[in-house]
Amino acid sequence: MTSTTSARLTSGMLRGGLVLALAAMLGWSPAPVAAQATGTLVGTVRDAASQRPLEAVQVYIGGTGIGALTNSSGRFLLLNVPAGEHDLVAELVGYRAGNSTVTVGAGESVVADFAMQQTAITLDQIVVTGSGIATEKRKLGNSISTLDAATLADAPIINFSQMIAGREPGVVSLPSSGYTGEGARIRIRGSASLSQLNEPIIFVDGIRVNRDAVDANNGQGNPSRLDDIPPESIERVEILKGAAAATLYGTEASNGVIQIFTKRGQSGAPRFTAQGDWSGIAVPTNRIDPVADFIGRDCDEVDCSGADDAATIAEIQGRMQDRFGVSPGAFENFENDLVPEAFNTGFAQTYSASASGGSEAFQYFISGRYQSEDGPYNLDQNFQEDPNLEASNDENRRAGFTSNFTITPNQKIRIGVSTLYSDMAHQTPDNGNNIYGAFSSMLMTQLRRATTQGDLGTFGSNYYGNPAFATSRENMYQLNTVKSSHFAGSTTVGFTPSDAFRLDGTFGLDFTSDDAVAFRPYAWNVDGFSGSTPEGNRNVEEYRTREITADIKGSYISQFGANIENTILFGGQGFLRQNQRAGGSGDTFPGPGLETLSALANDGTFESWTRVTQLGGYIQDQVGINDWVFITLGGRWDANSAFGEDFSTVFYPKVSASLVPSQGLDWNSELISTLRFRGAIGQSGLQPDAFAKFTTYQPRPSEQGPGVGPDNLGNNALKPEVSTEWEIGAEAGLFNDRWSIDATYWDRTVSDAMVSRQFSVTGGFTQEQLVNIGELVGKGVEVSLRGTAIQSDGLTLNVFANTAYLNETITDLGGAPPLKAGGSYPRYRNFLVEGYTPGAFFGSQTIADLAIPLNILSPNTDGTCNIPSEARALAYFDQPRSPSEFKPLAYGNSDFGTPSGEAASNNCGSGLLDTYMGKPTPDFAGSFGFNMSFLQNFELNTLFEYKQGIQNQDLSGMFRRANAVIGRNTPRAAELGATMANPASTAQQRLDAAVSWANEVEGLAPMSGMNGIYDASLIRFRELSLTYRVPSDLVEGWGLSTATLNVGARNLHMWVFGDYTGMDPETNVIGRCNSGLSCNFLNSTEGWSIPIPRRFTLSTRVTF
Amino acid sequence: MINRIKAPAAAVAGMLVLSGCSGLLDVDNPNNLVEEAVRQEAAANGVVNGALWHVSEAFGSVIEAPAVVSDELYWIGSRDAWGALDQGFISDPANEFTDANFPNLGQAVWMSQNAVEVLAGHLANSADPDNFRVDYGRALMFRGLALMTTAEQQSDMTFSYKTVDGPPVSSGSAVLGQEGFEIPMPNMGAVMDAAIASFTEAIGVFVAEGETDLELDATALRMRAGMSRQIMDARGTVGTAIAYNAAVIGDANTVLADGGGDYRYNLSYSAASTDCNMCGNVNNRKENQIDLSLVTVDASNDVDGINLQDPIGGGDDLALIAMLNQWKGGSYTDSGNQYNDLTVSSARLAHLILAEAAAAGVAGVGTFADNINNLRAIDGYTTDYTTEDVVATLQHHRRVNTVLQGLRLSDMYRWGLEPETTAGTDPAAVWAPASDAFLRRGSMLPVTLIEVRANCYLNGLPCAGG
Repeated sequence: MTSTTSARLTSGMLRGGLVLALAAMLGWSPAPVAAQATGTLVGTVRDAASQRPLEAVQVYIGGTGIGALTNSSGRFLLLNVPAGEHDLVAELVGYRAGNSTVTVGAGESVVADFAMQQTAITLDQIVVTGSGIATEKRKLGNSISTLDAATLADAPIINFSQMIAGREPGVVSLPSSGYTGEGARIRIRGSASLSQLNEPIIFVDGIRVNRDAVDANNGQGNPSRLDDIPPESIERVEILKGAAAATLYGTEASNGVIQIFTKRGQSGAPRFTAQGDWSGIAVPTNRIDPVADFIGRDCDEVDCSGADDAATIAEIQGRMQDRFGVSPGAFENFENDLVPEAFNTGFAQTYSASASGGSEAFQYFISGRYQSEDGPYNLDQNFQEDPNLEASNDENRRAGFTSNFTITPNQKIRIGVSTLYSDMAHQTPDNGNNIYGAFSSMLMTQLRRATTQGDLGTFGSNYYGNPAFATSRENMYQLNTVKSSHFAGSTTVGFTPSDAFRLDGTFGLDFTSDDAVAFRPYAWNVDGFSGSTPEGNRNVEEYRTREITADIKGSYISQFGANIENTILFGGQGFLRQNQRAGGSGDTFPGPGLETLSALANDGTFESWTRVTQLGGYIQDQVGINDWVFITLGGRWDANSAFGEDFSTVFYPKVSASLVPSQGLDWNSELISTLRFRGAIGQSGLQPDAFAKFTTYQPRPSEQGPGVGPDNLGNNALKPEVSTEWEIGAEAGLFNDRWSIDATYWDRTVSDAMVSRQFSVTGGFTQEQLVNIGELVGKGVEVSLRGTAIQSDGLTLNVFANTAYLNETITDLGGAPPLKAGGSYPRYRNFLVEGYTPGAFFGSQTIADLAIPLNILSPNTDGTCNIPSEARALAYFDQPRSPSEFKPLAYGNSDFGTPSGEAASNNCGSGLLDTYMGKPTPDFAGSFGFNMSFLQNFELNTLFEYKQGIQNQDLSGMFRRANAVIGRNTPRAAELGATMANPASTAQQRLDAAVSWANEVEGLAPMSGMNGIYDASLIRFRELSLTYRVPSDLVEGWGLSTATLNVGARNLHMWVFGDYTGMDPETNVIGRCNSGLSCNFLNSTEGWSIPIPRRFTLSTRVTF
Repeated sequence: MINRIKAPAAAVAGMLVLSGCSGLLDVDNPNNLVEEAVRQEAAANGVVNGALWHVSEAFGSVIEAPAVVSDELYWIGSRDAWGALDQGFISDPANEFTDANFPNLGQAVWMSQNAVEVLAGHLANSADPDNFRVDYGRALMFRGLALMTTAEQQSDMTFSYKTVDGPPVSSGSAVLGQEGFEIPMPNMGAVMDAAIASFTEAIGVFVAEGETDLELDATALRMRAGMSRQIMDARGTVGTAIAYNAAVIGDANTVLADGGGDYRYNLSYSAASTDCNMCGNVNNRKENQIDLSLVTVDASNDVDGINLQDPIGGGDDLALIAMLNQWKGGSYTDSGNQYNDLTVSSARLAHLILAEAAAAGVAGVGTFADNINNLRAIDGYTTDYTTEDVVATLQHHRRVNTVLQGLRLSDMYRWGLEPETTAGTDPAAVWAPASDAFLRRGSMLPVTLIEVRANCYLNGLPCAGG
C-alpha cells in the first residue's frame, strides 16, 4: 500500500475509536508519547465560501496516527503532538483536502484553522458495502452511492424513508399514501424479480435487519421498519444498486443492498446534541373535485314520470334545504365541497438528544428520540362525540434509543457493540380500497341522500349521504392499532494480527414484535345504517420476526514490487430468518365494553411459522496497479433452505475494473480535472419463498370434523433466479472539481426468473406456483450533475440534478399465462405480459375515432358489435336514459397488445380488457435542486423530484365518476347524468351527453381501465429549508457550541403535466407492503388515499 | 441437502461454514401436511372432511351468480360485475365474481375425487379396510355433490390434475380422475350422470354399513341430481311440467318416507369452519340483497318485510318466511348472519317433484293438489290448493321452497320467466335485450378467465408433450 493510499484510507473510514485500531492494522503504531516533549494543536475548520463550521472533518498528522474529528462547531483538538514540524491534513467528503504545515513547540498550544474548498467529486470516499473491507470508491468498478447524513442535518426529514428520497438516481422511495406513519416502498433500478419482493435488503452496522412493513390491517397507513432507525443516529448510508455491485451478498441481493452505518463516538470530552422539531401538517385539497349531484336520480322512472316521483323529488328538495340550505330543481346540478371536512391541521413533534465521547480505548455514542404525530385526518370533528366509543385517528408515536460502543483493548483488537431499540404505537383509520374506509366514504357521498345530523344515537342519520355499506360516522368508529417494538443488536470483533492481515466477525440479532388489532366495538353502527357485524368484531394478530446474522471475513494485503498492490478477501456468512404469526378473529360481542377475542360469539384462530436459512461463502481478489488501475475478481457460493430438493448450491461470479487516468497519467487539465472509467459485471440472486418447494395440504376444518385441502402445488426443482448485470460508467471532475458529472449505463438480465404460474385451477391446487421459467431484462442510464455555480464572499450556490432512465421488459414467461396484480379484482389493471414492462396497464379503451361509441343495439348475428348510426342513436335517446342502460364500445384486442380495431363491449366482440394502456413506472425519474449559503449564517436548500413518462390509474376517481351505486358524484358525471335523464333534454343533447359519458366518465368493470389511466408526469417541490446558524459568539455566551434554527417544508407543491385526473398520483392503493405480486406490481394506482400532505416544520438544534 | 459443493480451494473458509452447517438448511414446514402424510390411513377421515369443506365452499359461492342473474338476488353494492350479472350477462368469462368462484368449484371436484381415490386405495390395501368404508361412502357423496353443482351451474367445465391440463367437457373428451379412476365426461349431462352414479354408489355403501341417516342424505341428493338432469334438458325451451323418471320419483318417495316432515339436507358454515361467500355478500357486506319481488327493504337496504304473497290464501308467503329465516340464521328481518345453513335437498323438494310429475301426468304419484297441499302443510297453511293455475302454482311453490338453493335460474329458463322491474330497483336490474340470459336461454356459468388463461386446451398454447 502506498503512503498516499494509506492516508486516504484513514481519512474517510477511521472515525473516532476506529482510528487507533485501523491505524494499528496499517502499521501506524502511536509513538510512545509519554517519553517525548509534546504540544497541542487546536483549530476550527470552516467551509471556505460560507464560513460555516464543518463537523466530522478528519484532521490528522500524516504518518503519526494522531488525529481527531471536528465537533459540531468545527473545532478539533490534537493532544500529545510531538514537538516539531508537522503536515496537518483535514479531510471531509465533498471537500478538497486541506494541508497545512505547523510547528508545535513543547508545551505549546498551536492554533491551525482550515478553510476547505468544496469539491463536486468524491472518488476518495471510503466505502465498505459490497467490497468487504474499507475501500476507496475509485478502486471499485461498480457504482456505489453514499449518503452522508451530515449533509441532510437541516433537511425537513423525519424518517429514513424521507432521508433517501430523491437523493440518488435509480433509487426511488415511493411514498404510497398521505396517512400518518406510512412507510415508503424502496425500489432500486426498477424490478429485479417477477415474483419476489423487489425491496433491497437492509443492513445496519453489518447485520441484516427486518425490512417489512408494519401491517396496520389496511391497504395504506402501514409504517416501514426502516423508519425505526432514527435519522439523527445515522452517520452514512451506502447503497449498492444491483447485481454487479452486490455479488458478495449472494442470494437475496438482486434488488440491491442498503447498508446503514450508525454514528460512533469520538474520543474526547462528552459532547451533547439536542434537537426539537415541530410540524404543522396540511392536506392539499386543490385536486379533489367537489361532490355533485342532481335531484331525480332516485325516481322510480328515469324521467321521473312515475306515480311517486313528484313526492320523492319534493322530499329530497326539502332535505337539501335543511342540510345544505339549497333547494335545486329536478335535474338541476348542485355541488358541495364536502370532502375536505375530513381534515384539519395535523401536528407533529420530535425531540432527540445524543451524547458521545470517550477515551482512546473506549468511545461511545448514545442517542434517544421521541416522535409523535397526530395527522390531518380528523373526521370526528364533524360529529357529536359518543362517550362510549372511540373515534379513529391517524396517529403515530415512536420512541427510540441507539447506542454504539467501541472498545480497543489493544492495538490488535477492536470490539464494537451496537444496539437499536424502537417502540411504536400506531393508529390509522380504515382506508384504501375498502367499502368501510373512513375517507373513502367521504369521497363516495351523495348529496341527495344527506340528512341533517341527528342527535347522537339517532338512527337514520346520514350526514354525508353515504349510499351503501356504512355511514362516514360509523366508519370512523372502526379502530386499527399496532403496537410494535424492534431491537437490533450486533457485536463486531476486529483482529489485526499483522499489518497486512485482518479478521472481522460480526454477529447480530434483529427482532421485531407487532401486535395489530382491528376492532369494531359493539354497536359501532351508530346510525343504524351498516348491517355488517353490528355487534362488533375483532381481529388480532401477533407477528414476531427474528433475523440472525453471522458474518466472518478476512483480508490480506500484499505488495508486489513498488507498483502492484493485491488485496484478497474471503469470508462466510449465515443468515437465519424466522417469522411467526398467531392470532384470531371473530364477531359478535354480547354487549358493549368488551374488547377481547374470548368475548366473541364466533371466532377462529390461526398460527403460522416460516424459517429460511442461508449459508454462503465468498472470495475476492483486487489488484491495484500504479494506484490508478484496479481489477477485482470474486464470487460467492450460496445454499438456501428454500431451494428445491433437486438443487444444491449456486455460484455468483463478478469482475470489475476501474481506471483513474487523471491520477495515474500526467494529467494537467483544469477543464477535466478528474476522470475515471469503470465497468463491472456480476451476478446475484433471489431465493424462492420459504416453503414453495413442498406440495402441501392445509387445514380445512369442516362442520363434520377436521379436514385438509390442497394448498401449495410444490416444485422440488426450485432454484434461485439469477440477475446478471453489467454496467459501465465514467465520472469526471470539471473546472478543478468544482463541477462533476457521473454517468452509468447498466444492463440486467434476470434468468430462471421465478414466475408465479397459475396452473389449471381445476387441477386441485389453485394457488400460483413458483417456477423458474421467466426472463426479465432491464437497462438504464443514470446521470448526476452537481457543482458550484456561484462562489463568492458571503454567497455560495451549489446546484445538483440527476436523472435515471429505466427500461424494463418481460422477455419470457415460459409459457405461463399473463399474470395480473390484484388477483381477480378486475379494477386493478397491472399485468405481467411478455414483451411489456412489468406491471403494465391493460384495459379497455373507448374507440376514440368512432362518432357514436355506444353499445346500444343488439349484437350482429355473428356476435360482433352493432355500431349505431346517428339516426338509430337519436331514436334510442328519444327518451330519457340512465348511463346504466348502455355501455361504450371499446377497442377489441384478443392477445394483450395493440388494438385490433374491432369494436368490443361487454356483450359483443372480444378482447375487451386487453389493450395496452401504458406503464406504471416512469421513463425518467430524478431530482434537482440547490443549496445556497448566504450572509454567512444562512443556508437555503431545495429539492424537487420529478417523473416523466408514467401512467397512473385514477381508481378512486373512476369510482366517483362511474359507479352507479356509490359514485357518479363528480360535477361532470352529475351534469351528464342529469342531461340524459332529463325529459326536457332533446335526443341530440342526450346523445351528446352519452358520447361524452363514454369518452370521459364510464369506467370500472366490465370496462376496467376505461377513462381512468392517464399520463401522470409530475414535478414535486419536495423539500425547502432555510437554516440560520446562530453566530458562535452568541451561542458561546449561552454555554453552547452551536445553535441552529431551521424552518422547512415538504411537498409544498405539485405540478402535474399529464392529463391525470386524480388527487395525487404519488399515492398508491397499496401502501407499504411486504410480499406478493401486488406489492411488486400493483403500482401507480391511486385508490382513496389522503393526498400526501404538506408539512411545515420549525426546528432547533443545539450542541454543547 | 448440500450434496454437490464444488468450491475451489480458495473458498475453503466459506465452504467450511456451509458444509459444517448443512443441517441448518433442512427446514420443515409445520403449518401444513405434505403429500405423503395425506395418503396415510390416519389422514383418511381428514381427507374426506376436507372434501366436504371444499364442496361446501363451492356450493356457498358458485350459486350466487346465477341467483343474481335470476330474480332471487339483486345488486345494491359497489362492484358492478354483480350489476352485469343482474342484467343477465352470465357467460362473461371475465366477470370477477364468477371468475373468483370458479376455482372453488374446480377444487371441490378435484378434492372430492381425490378423497374417493385415497379412500379406495385404503380399501384395497389396508389391513383393516372396514375402517374406511363409511368415509369412502361420504367421499362418494361429496363427489356427487360437487359434480351435481357443476352440472347444474356450469355450461362447461374442465377437469385437470395438478399440472396436467384437462380438456373442456364441450370438447367431448373430458375425463375426471387419475388412471384407474377415470370417469369420461363427454358432455354436461354426463357430468350429472356421474353425480348420480356417485350418489348411487354412496347409497350402496351406506346401506351395507347400516348408515341410515347418510343413506337418506345421499338419496335426497340423488333425487335432486335426477331432477336437475331432466331440467337441464328443458332449460333451452319453454315448457310446463316435467314428467320425472321413476328413479327420481322413487328417491322422492324415499325421502318423504324416511325423512318426512321438514327434512333438509343442509350444508353448514361457521367462522371456525367454512365461509359462505353468498351469505357474507348478502347479509354482511350487502353487495346483493334478496330481490324486491320477494321482500321489502328499508332506507338502509335491510329486509323489513315480505313482498311476495301466497297465491292461494294471500298474506306473506309462509314458506318464503321459513326459508329466509334459515337464511338469516333467525328471523328474516334480523341483521345479517354470514354463516347460515344452505339447503341442498329437502322433503319440500320431494313434494315439488311429485307434484310436478303429477301435473305432467305421471301415474302413481298422487294428484298435484295432494302433493302441493302436503307441501303447504309443512308451513301450517290451512288454505289448500284447489283449482288455481297448475303451472303458476308449481312455479310459485318451487320458487319459495327452494329459494337460494341454486335452482331458480334453471326454472326461469325452462318456464320462460324473466326478472321483473320492481319499484325502486334500477331499470338495469332486469335482463338486457343483448344479454346471454335473454338471448341464449339456458346459458349458465362459463369456464372463466383464470382457467382459460391457464389451461392449454383453452389458451392456444401447446400442451405438455403434445
